Amino acid sequence: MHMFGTRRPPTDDVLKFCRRELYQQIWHLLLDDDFINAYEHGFLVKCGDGIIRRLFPRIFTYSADYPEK
Amino acid sequence: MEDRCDAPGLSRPGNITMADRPSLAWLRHALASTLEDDDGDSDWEDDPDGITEDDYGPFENCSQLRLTDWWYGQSGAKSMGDFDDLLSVLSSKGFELSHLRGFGAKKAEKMLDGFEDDNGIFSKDDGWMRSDVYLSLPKTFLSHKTESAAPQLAIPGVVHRSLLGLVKGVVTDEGAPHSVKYHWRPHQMWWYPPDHPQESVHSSATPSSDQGPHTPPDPIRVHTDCYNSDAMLEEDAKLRKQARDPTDDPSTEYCILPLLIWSDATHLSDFGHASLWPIYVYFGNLSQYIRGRPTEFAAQHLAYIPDVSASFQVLFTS
Repeated sequence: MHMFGTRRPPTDDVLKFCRRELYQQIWHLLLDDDFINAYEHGFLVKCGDGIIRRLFPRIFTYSADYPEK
Repeated sequence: MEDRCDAPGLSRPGNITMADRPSLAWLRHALASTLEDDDGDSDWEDDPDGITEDDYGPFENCSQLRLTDWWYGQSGAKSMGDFDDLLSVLSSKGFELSHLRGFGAKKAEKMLDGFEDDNGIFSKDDGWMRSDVYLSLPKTFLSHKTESAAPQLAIPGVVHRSLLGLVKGVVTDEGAPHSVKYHWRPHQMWWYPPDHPQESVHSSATPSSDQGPHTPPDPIRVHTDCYNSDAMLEEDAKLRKQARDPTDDPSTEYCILPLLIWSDATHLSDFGHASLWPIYVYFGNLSQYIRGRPTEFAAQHLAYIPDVSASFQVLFTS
């Protein structure tokens, strides 16, 4: 880990950047190929009420606060 | 009991002795323990053998008396339902007093804290996965040709589920009470003023100048949920224009599934630093009046963001 080795603690800006990156990476993980495929082409499913539908998931709202602290 | 009603203004009883009120004698005994003993534990509570049949009062036996006393003697925070609940626990199948030897509140807490399911709390059977993510790290005064050339920090074991798997699991759940409550097609919702002629709704042909002073106001568009919003109607219209999958049966419905995603840090305790940072999903085609109730369990947990501040500190300073 000597490549970071300034022995100085990271600044708030750096920490903020890292947390934001972490957040984006997790979303990278969540929006996987399966989901993107379903987003574009829908997915055929027999719903709980017994009716067969092709559903197109859409992220309608997204409410979040970045881990900035 | 009567002896204690000695506040000024209260009439004192005559020369009635406790012996004349046998039904109260037991209560006096019980009250004496809470009123006179500072430690709250009376001698008879610690000495069950000291309770005689006379002490049972209205109860049939020692157990009934002691349980009722326990219920009344506490802070008063227990409801009658709690009391019945305790009784059903005590009389439940498999309940044996001998199992409780050496058992106590502290021990129970410890056992609960130490418990983990064989598969862990985030069981694979429930679709939970653990994946590693990598962050490209910045360093002041140092630039890299590409992002991949920058030093990487591995964040191991991010706990998450498959978003599509989660969605499929929820919509196919036949047993869920919500399964018949979803709004699959968006629509407009209008409020009609009382006495408004419904035929003229949406017709802009009626100029307002022609309306007399008693003409009711125009209908008002009401927005209450995703499924009566313009955004949803527009997205639905796009979907109608889209070519259907030729392999689908003509009767197959095509629907938008609006997902509402939330993320905020949650403190788990009033003191200390125990906290979670979950990402969770609601389904927008479920009425907010159902979705918003904590008892409906409409939120689906998707992922937990790990706390990495400690590893950053170590990484940058070492």
